[in-house]
Amino acid sequence: MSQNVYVQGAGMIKFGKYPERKIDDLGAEAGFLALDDAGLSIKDVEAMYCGNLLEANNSPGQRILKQMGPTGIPVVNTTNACASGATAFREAMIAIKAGLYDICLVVGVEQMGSGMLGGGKPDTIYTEGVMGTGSMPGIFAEAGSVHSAKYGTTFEQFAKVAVKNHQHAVKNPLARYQMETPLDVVTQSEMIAFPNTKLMCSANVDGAAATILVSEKKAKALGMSRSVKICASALTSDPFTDHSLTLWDFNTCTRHAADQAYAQAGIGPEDLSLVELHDCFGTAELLHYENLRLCDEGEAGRFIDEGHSWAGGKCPVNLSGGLLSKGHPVGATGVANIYEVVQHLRGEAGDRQCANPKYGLTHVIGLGSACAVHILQAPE
Amino acid sequence: MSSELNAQAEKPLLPVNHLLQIPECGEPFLQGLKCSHCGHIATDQRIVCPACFARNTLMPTPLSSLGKVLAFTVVRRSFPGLPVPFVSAVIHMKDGGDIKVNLENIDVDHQALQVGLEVELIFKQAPWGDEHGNEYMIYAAQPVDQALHTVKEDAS
Repeated sequence: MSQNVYVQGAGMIKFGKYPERKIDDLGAEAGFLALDDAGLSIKDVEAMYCGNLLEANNSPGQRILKQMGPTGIPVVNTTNACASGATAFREAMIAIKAGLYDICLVVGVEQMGSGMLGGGKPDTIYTEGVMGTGSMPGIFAEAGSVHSAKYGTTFEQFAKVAVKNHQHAVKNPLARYQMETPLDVVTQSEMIAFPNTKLMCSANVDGAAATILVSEKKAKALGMSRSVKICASALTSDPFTDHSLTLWDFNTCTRHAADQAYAQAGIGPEDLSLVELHDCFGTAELLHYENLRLCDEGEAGRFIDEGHSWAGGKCPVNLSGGLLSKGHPVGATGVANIYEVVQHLRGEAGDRQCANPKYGLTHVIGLGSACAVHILQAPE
Repeated sequence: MSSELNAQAEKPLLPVNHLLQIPECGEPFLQGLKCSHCGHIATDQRIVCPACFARNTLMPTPLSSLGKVLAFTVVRRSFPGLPVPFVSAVIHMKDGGDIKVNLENIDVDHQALQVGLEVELIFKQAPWGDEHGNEYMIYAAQPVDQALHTVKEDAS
């Protein structure tokens, strides 16, 4: 590949509900955190990439730049379902690799409103509830049912994802929730779509996260001690698979992205120190253990039972608290995952710091579908 | 059943989607698109075969009225105003093609509600119409095994 690209700055606001604010200033706040972290000014930024879903037709990146300092640089807005932020990050990386820029700002931002995501515009009548469900908790529950039927994965194993991620978030001050949820609390919380209870669904929040990407030349000029190298960047859509016309298949595109990313980085899953993956629902996280090759086929339930994905385990997953407890502001999520891994790789993750990390992987998947996987390397 | 449904309705029921065919005489059925090159049966609207990408090979083909549950969930909370619980299921039809339906006429807590359950299609009027006053026919699935039915068929 062409020249290496580094994450030189990263910032994230506390995820939560900000009904009185707009994405303009949520995004700008995260952008300034990332700039300050890199020791750079908005005047140094040569291009901006903004990931956002729900306001994508209304120039979210330009609105943020107006708050940060309208320097007249190119702004590219990306919308790619739940991979919108990761896509913005990847496009900035590609532009730097192409030699166009040395310093790019990436912002992921979203205000979510309330209620469940799902369903589309009907051709004739609204069919939710009379011809199955298009709700996200339901779609991901159906995917879980396939895994349960094939491998005997239990309700309790899916529920442990929420126990783990809520426990991890207790040590993340930027997460929406800091509360332990024991197994019986998770299994007894309101059932939304079996086996996903309310505590096994992403926390609906507003949020923003940002990164500053720089060329190798610029990283060297700035001093490399906190520069996190992007070792791999893979983006896939969902290819045809046997039942994918009706049963959403978010597994295959994740597997393809993961395999491409490992090949680009020249490492395997055994080399990872931590993973931030797309736990939009309890069912999803277990499936992604296998999709990301963290364990063998059918072993995901055992992987969480044996503690491998918990803090201190052989491959901690979602130390940030994940989408379940940190929250899932769609456009921000992919950038927030990268923010989290960067904190660990620099040894700056505070109480939740993962021990001696070398490589970290981030993963997001949005139905439609778009899957992004990045592998980042600790500063040398 | 459709002729009865349509005879009862003030104006004919419209098909809810492109799969549902409502002949003037005879029973309604589902119709997919079969690729004459690779044999895949597509159940959404496609220009090329989704499996082999061949062009001009997709021909209408009736789907079986029998199938098996491929995936399901019991929805306990849906969007505001919709009755719950209901079973949402993806059904793999006997001779190919997958569809999304409500799985009805079985207790949502029944042990037999599992991936692999054998089901058959039923056709009915949708509980609501569109903003133009049109009424629609929809389809759902129920267990083939009548012992599982919550509403038994009239013996007559």
